[in-house]
Amino acid sequence: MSKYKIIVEGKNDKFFIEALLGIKNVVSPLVEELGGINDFEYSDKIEKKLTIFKTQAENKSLKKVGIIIDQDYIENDRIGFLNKMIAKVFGEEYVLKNVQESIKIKLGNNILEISCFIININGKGELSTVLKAIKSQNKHSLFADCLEKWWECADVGKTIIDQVEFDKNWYHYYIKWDNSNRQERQQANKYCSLEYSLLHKKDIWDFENIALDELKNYLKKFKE
Amino acid sequence: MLQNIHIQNFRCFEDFEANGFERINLIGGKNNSGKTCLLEGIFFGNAVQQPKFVIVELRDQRNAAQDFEFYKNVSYQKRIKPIIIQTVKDGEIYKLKTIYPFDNSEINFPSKEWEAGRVNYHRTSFTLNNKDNISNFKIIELFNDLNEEKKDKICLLLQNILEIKINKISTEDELIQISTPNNKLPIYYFGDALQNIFKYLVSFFSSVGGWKNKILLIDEIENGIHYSVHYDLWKNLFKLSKELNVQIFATTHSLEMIQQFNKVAKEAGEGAYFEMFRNEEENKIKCIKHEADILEYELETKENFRGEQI
Repeated sequence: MSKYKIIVEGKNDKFFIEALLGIKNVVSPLVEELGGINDFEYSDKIEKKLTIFKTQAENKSLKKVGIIIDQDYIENDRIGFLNKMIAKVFGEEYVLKNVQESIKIKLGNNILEISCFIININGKGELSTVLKAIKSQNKHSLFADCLEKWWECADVGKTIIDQVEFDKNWYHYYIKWDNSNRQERQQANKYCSLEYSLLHKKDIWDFENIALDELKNYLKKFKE
Repeated sequence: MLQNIHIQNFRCFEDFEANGFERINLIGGKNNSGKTCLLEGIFFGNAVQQPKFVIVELRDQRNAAQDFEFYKNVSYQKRIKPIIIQTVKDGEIYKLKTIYPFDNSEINFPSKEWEAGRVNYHRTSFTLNNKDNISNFKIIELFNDLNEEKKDKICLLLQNILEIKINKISTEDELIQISTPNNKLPIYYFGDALQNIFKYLVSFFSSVGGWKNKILLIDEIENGIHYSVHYDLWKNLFKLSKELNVQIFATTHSLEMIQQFNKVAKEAGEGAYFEMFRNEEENKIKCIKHEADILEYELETKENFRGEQI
């Protein structure tokens, strides 16, 4: 049994991190999603998760916790954001200073290590930004790339649809229109999902892309 | 109200603690994690009615407690260490300690520290499970002792919880009889849900008297009860528990039971879920309290909270 936990923002983040780790442990998942739509919800949910992990560390010998969240497209101190919740649950003396660096917290007879990673490409973005960056060079993305024109053609397009939403649309199109056949598209919820592509169409993604090096290096902490 | 319990050398517990009990308590955990043992520990711990140290010779209590089938599970084999059950009720410490003929020499008995006493288990608590810990005979006796108003209330509650029409519940030929608009049938003609919930209700309304800490112990509360009535069952148990001042301890394996318990606990602003499990590293059975808010989030995110290892 793993004594490690990784929390991520949503279920697609979970599928992606599990694909990078090469695992899918359903009974006792290593990667757990927070489930939320904004920082206000995430802060409440991260605090609850950390409270649960604190109890698990005290009683079930949980050893390591990783928190993986998005940088997004705004200038914000993501580590400072996480430190607020860590201080609430464990005390103000525990402060994360940099990504990938751990803090160690003594709980009962156990020591819990907490660290974080911020998903980004060149200091911005989130999972969809990463997915766009790791599209396989051997696969075309004609339909997905056409979305750029669609995005620009409406006068107000870029004010209504921001970069985050655009990138999400891009990878949905890339999976559904560039890399699925007609039968698959008829059951798009299943066969054109990110989860399905990560499990069954791995060749549409370039998992060796250097954009993933830091994240893969971070995830080594959680491989037993 | 029982708040904390510390059990030593009793059945699967070497040194076990559970803290923060509330009026209604639901206990989850894997098989053999000690859930039923905890109910038994609570049963014995609660039997100590005076806030002073009491030594109980369990042998002598056997007749008094013979109605309770699980009593036979208490080990009479030679023990090196005495069973100690310490409880905190309404802020006061109560302690029960067993002695056996063979270890009298180890305990300076009687002493200043320990005061000898007997414990009367009768009507301090009821344990119910699918194995009929309260026998049908006992249930009939308890039901017959109730006044008409209480019998009618049980009839009404059964109808509300199970959404069936019952005109009257009576005793005939030493059997509980259920009268519906169509016929009158002995209770055993009905399903487990009706029989079980009837027993819970009779136990509730029978738990009268001068005892300070009335408790209802229910092992595997989900047995025979369809998930669609879980919410109404809890709603009524919470209400009765408050009205009749009876503390409830129930165990479960059912996720649906926990979900509906949590829903009612959030609405009522009371009630706690406890998770029991064996910590492999420490080789010790532990019990964690999950506050309603946290449990709600654990349910939402499919976190493990039923005794699974992480």
